[in-house]
Amino acid sequence: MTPAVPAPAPPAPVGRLRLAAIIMRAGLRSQLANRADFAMAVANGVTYQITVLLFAAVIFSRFPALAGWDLGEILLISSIRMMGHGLYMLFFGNLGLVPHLVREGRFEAFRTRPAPVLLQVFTYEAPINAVGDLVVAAASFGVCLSLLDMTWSVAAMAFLALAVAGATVLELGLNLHIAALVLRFRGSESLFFWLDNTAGNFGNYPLAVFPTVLQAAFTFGIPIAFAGYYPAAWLTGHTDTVPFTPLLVHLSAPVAALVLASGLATWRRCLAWYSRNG
Amino acid sequence: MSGTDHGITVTGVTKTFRTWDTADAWSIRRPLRRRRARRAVALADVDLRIERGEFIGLLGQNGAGKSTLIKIMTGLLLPEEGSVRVCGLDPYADRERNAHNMGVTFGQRTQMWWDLPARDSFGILRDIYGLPPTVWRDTLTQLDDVLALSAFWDTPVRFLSLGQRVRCDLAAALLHRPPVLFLDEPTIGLDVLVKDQVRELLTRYATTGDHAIVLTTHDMAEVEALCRRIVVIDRGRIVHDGPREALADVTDAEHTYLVEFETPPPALHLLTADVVSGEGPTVRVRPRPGADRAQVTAELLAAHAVRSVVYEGTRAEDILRTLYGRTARQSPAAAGGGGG
Repeated sequence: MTPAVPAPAPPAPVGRLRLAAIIMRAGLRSQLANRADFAMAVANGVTYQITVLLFAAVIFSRFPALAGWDLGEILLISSIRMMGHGLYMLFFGNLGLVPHLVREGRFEAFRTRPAPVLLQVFTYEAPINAVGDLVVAAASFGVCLSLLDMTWSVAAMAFLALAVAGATVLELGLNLHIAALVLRFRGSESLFFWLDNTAGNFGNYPLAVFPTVLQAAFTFGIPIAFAGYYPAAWLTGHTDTVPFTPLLVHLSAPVAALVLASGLATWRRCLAWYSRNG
Repeated sequence: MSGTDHGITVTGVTKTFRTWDTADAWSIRRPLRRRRARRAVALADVDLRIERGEFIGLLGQNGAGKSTLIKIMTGLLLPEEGSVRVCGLDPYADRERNAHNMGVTFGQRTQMWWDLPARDSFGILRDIYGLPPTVWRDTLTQLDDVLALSAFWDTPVRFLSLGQRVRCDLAAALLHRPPVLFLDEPTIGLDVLVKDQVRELLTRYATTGDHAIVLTTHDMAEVEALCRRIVVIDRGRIVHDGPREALADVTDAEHTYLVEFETPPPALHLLTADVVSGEGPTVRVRPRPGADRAQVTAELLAAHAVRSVVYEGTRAEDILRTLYGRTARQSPAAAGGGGG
């Protein structure tokens, strides 16, 4: 039988990105092998997001403008949020599988391999649902841009890209908190659905339509307003109408970074607790 | 490099788990009461040293602390007191470096990628462990020779039978040629043919003298076939650590001979053994201290016409039964093991 070999040095960060790409590609290949499964997974993503849009369309048909925002402008809020959500689902959506991975004992296996645990969670299976989310988000963007009468300068396009990235990072940060809580309190997995529903139900509209307490909650508590509303306010010229302070329209990226940092710290702390208590 | 740099050293490890008094969990007064917490001892001051080339059987009843000890040795759990070194590394603090040195299987819980063919999982593991392609290919070929993986390794793991999946998991644990192996119930639920394949593979690894292997199992036949050294853990404490043969001395387990005579024998007065029981031609005798097997057998053959003699009482299973029973009697009120 083969002799044991000495441990090689841990791979460099670049190697880990390559590793993530390899696992994702293999997962995608396996998902594509069964076309019916693939089609169903895409359809699930499309159906969910279309339901959200249909609900919004019904509201807009009754109220063509909300708090001074017209249909195209409101669609920009939901488009930024949905695109951020689609990218989150594509790269990090497997975080929602943490409860399942813990229950099945697969999480333990991740911790016995020489690769970051989170990387292994993110790449555990190909997130086909995300394709549906991204398709609907792209369609929503298309409709929104056709409705908006605005000039897209380089700065505006860069701001839009940053807003989408911020929405992705913000959702990652919030879900990291929940995944960490799952390690500490097994009953907290329903928070994943709660966050998804809350963002879908409240994240697509101008903040001004909600009572002050919700405005504060979605700005300072669960800051989903930074995943669509605040950056859209700057892009559409509604900066002076945002609650609290107009400065908030520029803070999507820093808030997202802050939430991510807090999420990572919580994850590490709860993982250490999990290692002490099993 | 010292010997322990290749093996496992566990020093003074203690682990407890907090449990809650659930006696009044459904009482309507519960919201007003503070539930009482207590610490269940899973491991108590455990010392263990396993050198390279050793193949040990880690035995114990359910809840004795085996799984807790394995989890601590693999870095999955942190001990409250004491320390663990695997190939000179702290398995928790040096998690990623330590992972290169160890292979782990977790019973029926697969570590493979569920939707991928097993061979793709092996490929991913090659990249995770940074194995040179030639080393990976050679090792996979050798594992395939024993475990016959190629017959099904292009099938997604979720479609594999339990036996096929366990073989894949074992291969996945060995692919990076780790010097330390933790095998938690590797053959549970397998049919005899697959068990034989797994045992053959493990025997090959053991004979290289290049690995420290820890096997936990309830299958005593497996222990007898594979392990020369046995560590028995009970209520979080190591109650035996030594060669398998020495286990019988620790327990004072009854060594008996079941003798089937041609006809019911006359009253037996033997110099080397005492009669324990007798019914017709069947007699059970216990050897006297100092009497060896040959002496007892010779005296039985001389006493009456013998049809068969069966030597009983030193099977690991019988010894463990005795040992568990004894420790249960000695400490009936001891804190129960919180670990598995």
